[in-house]
Amino acid sequence: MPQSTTEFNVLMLGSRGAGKTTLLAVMWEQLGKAISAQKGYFKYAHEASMYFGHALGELRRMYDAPGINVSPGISGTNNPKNLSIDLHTANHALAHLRLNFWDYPGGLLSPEQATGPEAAVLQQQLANAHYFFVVVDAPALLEHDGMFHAIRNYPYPIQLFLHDRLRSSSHGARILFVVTKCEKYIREGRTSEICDAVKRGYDNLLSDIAGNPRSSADICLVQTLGTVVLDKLEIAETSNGDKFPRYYFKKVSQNAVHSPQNTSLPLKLMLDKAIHESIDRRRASYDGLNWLRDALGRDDELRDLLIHMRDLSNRASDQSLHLSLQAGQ
Amino acid sequence: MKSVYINTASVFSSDYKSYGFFKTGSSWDSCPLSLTQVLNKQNPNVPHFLGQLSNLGERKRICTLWISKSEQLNKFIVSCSLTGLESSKRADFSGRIIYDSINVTYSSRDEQDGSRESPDDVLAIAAKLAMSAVDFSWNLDDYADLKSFEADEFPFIDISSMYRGIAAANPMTEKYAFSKPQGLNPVHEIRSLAKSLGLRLIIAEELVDEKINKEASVSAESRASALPKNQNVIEEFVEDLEGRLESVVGERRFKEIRCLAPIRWLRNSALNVFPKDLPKPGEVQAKKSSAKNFESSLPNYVDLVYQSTTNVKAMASLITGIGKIVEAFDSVTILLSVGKNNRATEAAQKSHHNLPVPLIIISFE
Ligand SMILES: Nc1nc2c(ncn2[C@@H]2O[C@H](COP(=O)(O)OP(=O)(O)OP(=O)(O)O)[C@@H](O)[C@H]2O)c(=O)[nH]1
Ligand SMILES: [Mg+2]
Repeated sequence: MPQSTTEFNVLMLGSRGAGKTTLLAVMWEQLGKAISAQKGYFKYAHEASMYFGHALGELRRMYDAPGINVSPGISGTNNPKNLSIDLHTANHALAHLRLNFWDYPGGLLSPEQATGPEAAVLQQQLANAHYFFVVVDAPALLEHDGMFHAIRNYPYPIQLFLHDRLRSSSHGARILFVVTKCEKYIREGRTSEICDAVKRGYDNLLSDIAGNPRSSADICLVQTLGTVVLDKLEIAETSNGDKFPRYYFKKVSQNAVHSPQNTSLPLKLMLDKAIHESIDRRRASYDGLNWLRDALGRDDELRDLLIHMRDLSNRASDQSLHLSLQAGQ
Repeated sequence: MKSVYINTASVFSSDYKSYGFFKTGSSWDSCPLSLTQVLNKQNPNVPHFLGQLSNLGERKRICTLWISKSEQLNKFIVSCSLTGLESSKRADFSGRIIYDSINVTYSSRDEQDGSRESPDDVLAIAAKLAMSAVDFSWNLDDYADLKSFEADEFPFIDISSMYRGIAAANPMTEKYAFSKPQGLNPVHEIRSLAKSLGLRLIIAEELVDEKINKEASVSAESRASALPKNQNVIEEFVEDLEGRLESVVGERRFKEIRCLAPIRWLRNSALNVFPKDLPKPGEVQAKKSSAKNFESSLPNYVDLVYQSTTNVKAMASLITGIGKIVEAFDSVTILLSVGKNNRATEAAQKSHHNLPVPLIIISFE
């Protein structure tokens, strides 16, 4: 029986500066810890390691400033990126799974970009993604009574982007809300406040998801820098009098170093679905012959990996920072 | 026709995108066309490597220069881009540094506008941009209005003074003087120009000959039929040349030479595959009986090595000089690419056999 690699596409949705690239980079760094070496390993093309390695380097540079100041680090993403990572198990030459991460620049989600070649890329990706990260900016959600939530987190455009998919696709959509820049709020013990704000802030999208039983929705809270907290969110003004936010961050101490928290959680939630889907798709293509797959133990390795990963994940991450809203069938 | 394109982002609402301006009379108006459209409009036949020229979203510091003289289109075109200019004054709402890129383009003739502008200022800007590809302290901050930026507006509010400012940063002090007797061919001119600037040229024809003799028959016909084979030879040769260079100057020195710039020059040859609507190689050859050195079907490489930063200035003179040389000939295309890790070299090598004209690449490594 020929073994093939399952493609699993992950689309990052979120506004300019929400933290998509940062999240991807720190998750990439976690890959080694997601599974133990005997069970499997990840392999990535030069391009992916260049991209993530560079982003991590830039994030670390943020700590170079004197005192508790923060230097400008990572730069904005200028065009849609596709970064692939392969998952291998010990006994197979061919990868079981290829994860394609689509880092779509937040600036291109704005209404003025509704046409043109990038918009076409987005359409394609919305239709072909197997997993969606909706990256939510926590300060926009919470500061100044959430006054910047609409212009920073694009809840309505994102609902519209996913609307067709949730309406018409028999596969539904697996959506993970990842709330970034939570350092300040987790320190202040405001996790449930964040979850409530997400539920309120995306109520339209969540009711679309509820209408498609195959779909899933989860919320998780991450600190991708860990030791850089929001100092203040200033209200700035354009020459037309439109208000926009300016973020000021500070280090928690002079000697703080980059130490991301809880970033293995979104990685594991996504990997869980990816491996699950890989098993399902393999079996679907064998149809009536799955008794043979079972007899030969074809899927054992992947199943084993899944159990192993769940076990690791349950031990490693803070479950209070994860809320499952809908499991999906 | 003169145009300026700037790729930048505003503090909050506008992400990275390109803003185009073209000169009408003495003022600069915003241009609805994309840079790619402008370039294609100037010369629809030309090159595949223009991708690099119009890719203003690039974050690496790369300077790409396209100088083209087409007898057929009766046009002289200069287009230069510099990408990856890190601002030291502007950060976006979330504290991230803004990167800018710029392109200036000149065309001697444009359907809409009968006026004939001088290319001199564009060449001066091109020279400045090429120098700035290795001078990381240079950026566009001098021309950005911070108040506009903070108010979420496009910060380059005065294109005209920006244009004049960059051109003045590298005034072309001397007029380029052709060697005498004038105009044997562009290579001859570029060679003597480099010599007059104290730049060392390594002429590598012998090395190519040696390689190709080994790989293919010496007869012209078999060379023409062995195109793909020769293609490999050329690519191999370029690698080989880099190896030789390293062995000449030593590995340590090779790494120490910050500004190492090989110019690779491909002579117009019978090996070129011409686009359908352009004259066949034979026709061009016949017409150009004066260009004696174009008869050979062997590609011709010239490598130029800079060994100190002071020569960056010489490079600026070389670029303005090359502009003048190209303008004086019938049909020449030159691509220069200066910067780290750029893909222009590769792209140009892949596509050069589709070019109806010669090609030069300069790259800093
Ligand atoms: N403190 C803190 N800062 C964060 C976090 N996530 C992102 N940031 C910062 O927010 C800024 C934007 O992050 P990016 O990862 O570049 O955002 P993006 O979503 O990729 O943005 P585009 O590329 O413009 O679409 C950077 O300065 C990050 O350092 C987080 O969890 N905590
Ligand atoms: Mg990004």
